[in-house]
Amino acid sequence: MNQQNHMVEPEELMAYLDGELSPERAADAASHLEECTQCQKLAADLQEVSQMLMAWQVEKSKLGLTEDVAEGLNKPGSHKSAAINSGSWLNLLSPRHWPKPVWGLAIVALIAAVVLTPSLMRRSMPRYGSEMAVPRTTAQHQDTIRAGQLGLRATPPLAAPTPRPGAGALGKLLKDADADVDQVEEETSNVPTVNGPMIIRTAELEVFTKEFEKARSSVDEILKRRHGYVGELNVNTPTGSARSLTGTLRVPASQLDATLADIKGLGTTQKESQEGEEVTQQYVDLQARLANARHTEQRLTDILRERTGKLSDVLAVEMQISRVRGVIEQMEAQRKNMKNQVDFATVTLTVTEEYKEQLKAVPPSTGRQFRNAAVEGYRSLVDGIISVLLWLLSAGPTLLVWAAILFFPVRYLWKKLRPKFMQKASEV
Amino acid sequence: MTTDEGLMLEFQRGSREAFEELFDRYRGPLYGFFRRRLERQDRAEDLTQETFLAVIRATSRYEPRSLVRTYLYGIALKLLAGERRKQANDLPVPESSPEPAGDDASDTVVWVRQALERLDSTDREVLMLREYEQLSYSEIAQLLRIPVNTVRSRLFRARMALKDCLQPDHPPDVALNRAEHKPGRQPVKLSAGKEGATQ
Repeated sequence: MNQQNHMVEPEELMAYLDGELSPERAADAASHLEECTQCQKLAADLQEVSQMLMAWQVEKSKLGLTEDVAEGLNKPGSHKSAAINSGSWLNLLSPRHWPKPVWGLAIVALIAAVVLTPSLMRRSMPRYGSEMAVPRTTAQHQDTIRAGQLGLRATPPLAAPTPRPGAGALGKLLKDADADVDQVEEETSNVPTVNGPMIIRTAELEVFTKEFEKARSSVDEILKRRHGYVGELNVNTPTGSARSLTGTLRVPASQLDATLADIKGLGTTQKESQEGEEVTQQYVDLQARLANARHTEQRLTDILRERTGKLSDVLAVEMQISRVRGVIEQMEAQRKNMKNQVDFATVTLTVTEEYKEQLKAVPPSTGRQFRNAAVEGYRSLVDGIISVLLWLLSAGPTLLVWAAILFFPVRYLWKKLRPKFMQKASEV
Repeated sequence: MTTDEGLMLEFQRGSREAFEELFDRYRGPLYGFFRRRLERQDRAEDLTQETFLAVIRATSRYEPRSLVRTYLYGIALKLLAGERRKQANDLPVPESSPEPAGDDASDTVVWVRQALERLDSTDREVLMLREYEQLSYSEIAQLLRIPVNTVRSRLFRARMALKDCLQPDHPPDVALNRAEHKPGRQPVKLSAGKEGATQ
């Protein structure tokens, strides 16, 4: 196809038919396709190929998800065991799905397990950790890294999908299950436990008080007594109106009720509200993800330390470690913030003074009014003089410069025009 | 309808229903993925199950950085690569041994399979991911770790190669009599009963 005669390349035309072209180019392709018979034929060919490929349909899958598996899925940490022990996953263990060689391997594995189990029991070797110490091939190493880039941190069975020699599907599944259980146990042991529900408590109080100064100092005393602190505090003292105090107080969650009772004692409570948000699940999730991330970091560090590979692999691992470290620090900050919010309740407090307007019953005397007027006049005079002086000081230099510039031209014009003016004046 | 990513996050929080929904959505496509690429139906079923098993194992570590569909096919591709390595270590399977995707395959299906087999393996993978798994160019690029433009050029090359096979003057394949399959050039839609046919 002669490219010079076509606005769009054949590949672009194909992308247009697949809906993968940018809107601008798609508009060009559509208009071109309406006019060009060659491209119409190409489009028809491409569509025919796609339709032909669609003739190859596979039979429907009979795979199903049984109730037992579904129940197992609902139990945290037991997905794996439930999946293996029941339901459609049991199909993998079902002998009718085994090819004949697997039967033989299974029998050999069973005999080997019976013979070797006593000796293995005597050996105290780390289980999951030891697996990491076994050198893997570079290809497997790369699989792990790539899986991480995909958003999937590959588990050992995925990174090394080829079963060990001598192990059948059953052996592989049991090995995977064992490794996963070990991993879950290890991760669980790393996750700090949470005692009781974690609740972020917040309260809002509005109090009217007759004695504002006393209330102000009482707030500090209450915070000191309840081991709290001021998050933010603003005091407004406008003239001729009520004073007010607004602030955010942080007190230990266990002291919240007592603190609120103390604050209510400062005056009349106008508004009170309390909220509690349970974050136990989020906190536990965060802890678990943090533990997982640390575990990942440790594994990557081990890989970097113990494995040799291409420079690109080393750089990829370094990048992964850096990324995981960033995630860990971010989650650590989230965890600390959440814990702080749980440990310390937040009280939004508003204290408003009950303002009493002062009545001035005695007007000032006449002499005092004259005196005040004289003082006011003198002050105005001084202020005026000072203002003029200040203006001269500020504008004087500029005026002088302009005067110097304009002096000679103005004098020249004056000398030239003056006789004419004088002559006209004499004629008149 | 909840997105796949939403379901995955719900499953991460322990929702059984979310996993069931994901399973229902993807068991067919994943089974089709393996079935078209493997000789044996039982291995296709096993690997489909193993894909979901891997999802269950990695639940706590899932991060919604890419589409769940891409995530699943990423796992499937790795399992498929492992299966192929395993098959390479085993005794080679004769060319005339069991055919994938149905013993009762029609002439058109046989022709399509043989035409696909003649393609370069990398071109074929791109084409199959596009045509059968209905993945976008960018998803294929992410899965195969190649640029999007490479995906486009490989896809075009594969389609052009298949188009050449459609030409009447194309030399007949060793195992394929083109004269018999000319009617099959028209799109053949298999019946629902056929889709449910057993091996």
